[in-house]
Amino acid sequence: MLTDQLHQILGDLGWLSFELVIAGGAMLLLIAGLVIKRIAIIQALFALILLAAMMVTPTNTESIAIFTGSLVIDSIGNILKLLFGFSAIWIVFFPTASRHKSEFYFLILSIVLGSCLMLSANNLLVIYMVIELTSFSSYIITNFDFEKKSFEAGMKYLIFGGVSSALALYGASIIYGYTSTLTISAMDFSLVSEPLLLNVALVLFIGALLFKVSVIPFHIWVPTTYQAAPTDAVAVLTVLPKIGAFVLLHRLLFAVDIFEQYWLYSFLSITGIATIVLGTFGALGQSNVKRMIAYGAIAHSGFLLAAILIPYETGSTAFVWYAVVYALMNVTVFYLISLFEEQGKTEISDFSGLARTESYIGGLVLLIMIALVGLPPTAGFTIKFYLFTAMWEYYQSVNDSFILTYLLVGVLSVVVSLFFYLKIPFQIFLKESQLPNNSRSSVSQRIIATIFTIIVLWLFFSPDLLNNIANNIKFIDW
Amino acid sequence: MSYLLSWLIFLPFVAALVIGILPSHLKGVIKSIALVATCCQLVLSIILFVRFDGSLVPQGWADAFQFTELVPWITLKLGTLGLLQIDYFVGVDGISMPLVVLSTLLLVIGVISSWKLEEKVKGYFILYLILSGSLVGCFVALDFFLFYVFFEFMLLPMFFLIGIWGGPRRSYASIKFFLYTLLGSLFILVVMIGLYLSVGEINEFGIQVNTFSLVHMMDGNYLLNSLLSPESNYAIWGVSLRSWAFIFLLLGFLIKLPAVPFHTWLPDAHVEAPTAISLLLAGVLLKVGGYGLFRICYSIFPDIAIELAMPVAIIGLVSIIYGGLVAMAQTDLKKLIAYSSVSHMGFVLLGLAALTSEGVSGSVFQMVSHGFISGALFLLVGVIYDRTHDRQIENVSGLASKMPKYTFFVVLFFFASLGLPGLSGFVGEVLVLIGAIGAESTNGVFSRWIGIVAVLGIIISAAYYLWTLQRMFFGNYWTREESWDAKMLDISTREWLMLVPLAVLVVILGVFPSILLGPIENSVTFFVDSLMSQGQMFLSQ
Repeated sequence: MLTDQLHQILGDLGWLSFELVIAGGAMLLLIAGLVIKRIAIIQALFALILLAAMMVTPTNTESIAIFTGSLVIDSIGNILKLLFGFSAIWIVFFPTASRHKSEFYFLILSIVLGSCLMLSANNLLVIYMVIELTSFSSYIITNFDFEKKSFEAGMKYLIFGGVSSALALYGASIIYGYTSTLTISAMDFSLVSEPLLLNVALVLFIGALLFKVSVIPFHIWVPTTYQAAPTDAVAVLTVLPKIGAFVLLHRLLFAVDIFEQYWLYSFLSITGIATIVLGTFGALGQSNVKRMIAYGAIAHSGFLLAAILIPYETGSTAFVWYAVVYALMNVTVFYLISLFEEQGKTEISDFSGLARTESYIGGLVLLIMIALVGLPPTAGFTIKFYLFTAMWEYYQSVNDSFILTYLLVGVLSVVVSLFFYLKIPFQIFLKESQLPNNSRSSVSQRIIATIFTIIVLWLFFSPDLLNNIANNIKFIDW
Repeated sequence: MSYLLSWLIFLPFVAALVIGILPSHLKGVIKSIALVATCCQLVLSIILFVRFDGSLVPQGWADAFQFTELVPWITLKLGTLGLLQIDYFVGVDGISMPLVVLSTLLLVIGVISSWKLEEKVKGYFILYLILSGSLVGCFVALDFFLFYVFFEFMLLPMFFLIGIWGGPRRSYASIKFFLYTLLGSLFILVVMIGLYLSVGEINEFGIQVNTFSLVHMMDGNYLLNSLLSPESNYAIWGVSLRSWAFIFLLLGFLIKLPAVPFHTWLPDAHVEAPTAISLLLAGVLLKVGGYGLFRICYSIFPDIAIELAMPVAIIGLVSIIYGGLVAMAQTDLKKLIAYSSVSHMGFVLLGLAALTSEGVSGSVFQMVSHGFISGALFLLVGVIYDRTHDRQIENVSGLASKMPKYTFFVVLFFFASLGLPGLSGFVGEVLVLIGAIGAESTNGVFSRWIGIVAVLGIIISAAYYLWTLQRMFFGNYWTREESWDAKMLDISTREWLMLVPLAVLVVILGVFPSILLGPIENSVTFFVDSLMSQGQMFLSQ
């Protein structure tokens, strides 16, 4: 009996190849950091680990429950793992990369590991564990510039995160008390006759996930953290844990059957609408570039939340598309920001008149900002367009006024977001600079930035890649 | 299949790419490339005009278009809905063809007008060529998605052209322009999503294919149980979804047109824009708004167009009268012409709202004629501004004695604009007024008084133009600054080259309007007939 179980567990390990390579690699990297002082070797090792992990990603199309249902390996998880690996690899090209210590890459790997496990977790305790794994790595990495300001941001992040995960744990205990199971997919909420306390517990638990995806009112840590953390870490932080937590949220919502629980659906719709509104309007008043992009990322969370609320295949496709393009756009925009950060330009007003020396990079900034706003001819438009389509389709079939409001707010927020995203190209091209500016980006930096921008453009003109990704996912299982 | 339209669209993009590779100090070469590219575009569009078959009598929207090119672009699986089909689909009919010719001509003149530019020449002409490609693309696109992409694509070059090369308040003006038009285009986006989810066909494999094809949308191939089909019973606040869609599209295009009360971006943008960009803005960009109303708003929602003809006509009337009255109060010559544009574009709206063949053909004619006239008027303001860097009407007087040739052109185009018989402005306005006054007895969409009051618009425009002539050009010669005196030379050869073609066209179109009205006649008749019959059919459902 026990040996059977052990055999089963050992046999299931093979499905975790991606995570195992990352975990083993992270240990190796930590030890190597003690011996090897050349950071370039550590970077190469980091990239190799991620590449190796991506090579051994499972390719199953049916979803498979392993470890007696604690983890689920499914097609969407596999594809997002590749996306996570791809996004994380690029941080070695950031201009700040060579200044980091080897522990930095160890922490990035543990964020990757935690986020990937989020894609599979199907057990309340495993969820708690992976959230803590990503959170703790994030708290430390926020503080990795070792300045007073980033320490403050790290503390703020830690306190908010600590409170929200404590509440989540409390919620999980109540959920367990009612349903007598920890496995999400085995829960049946309809058996509970008086669900008030259970609903409260559910909100507490979902709160921890909303904290990770930075949805209103759990967003307060975001701007400070993004501003203070090292830019290459932010590129990872804005993408991996967020998308991972969204997948987790989706799994939880469908396990409790959100369409039977209309209060939860309305609660999340209102939160999503508020997220878009506050994210976009919050960004308007910002003077620091990273803070502004942080508020923009909050607004993007509102869009991603809309995608997971739609129970159709179009909704899921919209989510995957949005996740992929959002990741690409964010890595690119933070890459470009870090180029300017190297020249000491962190405030929006510092960008004035840069067109004289940096018109090429300025043009790329313009294109990426247009993509973040969601205008053609960029993939940013394609994803927003597809998401709006999915929302309209849902509205057409259920005639629910929340989703229509959500759609209209989303569309109108584009106008407002144009206003702040365009501030940077506006400063670069339209303002005269007060200070003499002699710094120029190097050719290799231009090439990397160009590659990313071209991907974002290319996915607009030929969305086949996105379409193939969507076709490869069995959404019925998801 | 001829690739004439694709050449027209992509030639400027290629030229922009070539300029992008060149080093920025080769200013002369860059200007020449831009000139050659736009001239090629003009030649191609003249070929288009000549080869356009005006005798074709269309039976349905599917065969109403000529020079069509259809290449599948994006095919997407759309979950439970089936397939989503986006095509590269272009073609022209009698409504879009004149506008293509108009834009290519003005684009050449715009390059000549920017010839003396010395600052950031490379960036300027790259943006200019991108703008010119998108403009033509907008007029010939027969796929809603393609149209929308070109429509949005115009905004960025325009934003930078005003924002970098504009006047002192350029950043304010360019942002205002961008925000207004983007807001409008988002309204269009919502309707576009709703429309393509409602329009399509079941293909031979039994799979539902949703399409962006404007032809399908105009033919009314609605899917069963879709939100925007005429049978749908959905309503928000008691107003049917089709009416909402029409109102959204109307808003989007009225901002672009612009009509009162959405016009306030226009004077700012015009005043700050460099001369060539003003010329394009008034001459071509406003027409995109008008064209959108024709091709999308009215053709796809004919039932609502009939129902809401009265409010639309009233918006047109208010634009005519209010725009004219505000123009009268201006002290800045460029602002005056900007407001007169608002007034004259009101005629376009009024003629379209009438839904009679006189009104609609007058509306198309007015778009073309206003393109030539307002383009020329902005060039004429540019002449004064180049010399004095000032545009205030009260700062000069008696120019007629000092600059007789200049005065001749000003008088010609002022009179053309106020509708003197024998010049092109008259034909358009009279046809529109005939259509508007006759609407009550032909199809009864709105009452006669609207057309009658609109006649006042011509009187008002006569008032402000004649008053301006009197203040600036007649009387004793005088300038506010002594130093301007030496600069007050009559028009140069370059300016002459830009103004003469426009003057000739304004006279020819005024005397022989059939040059334009002939080729477009069948298209306009078909447009009106199908609109009325389809509209009545949809209404009865």
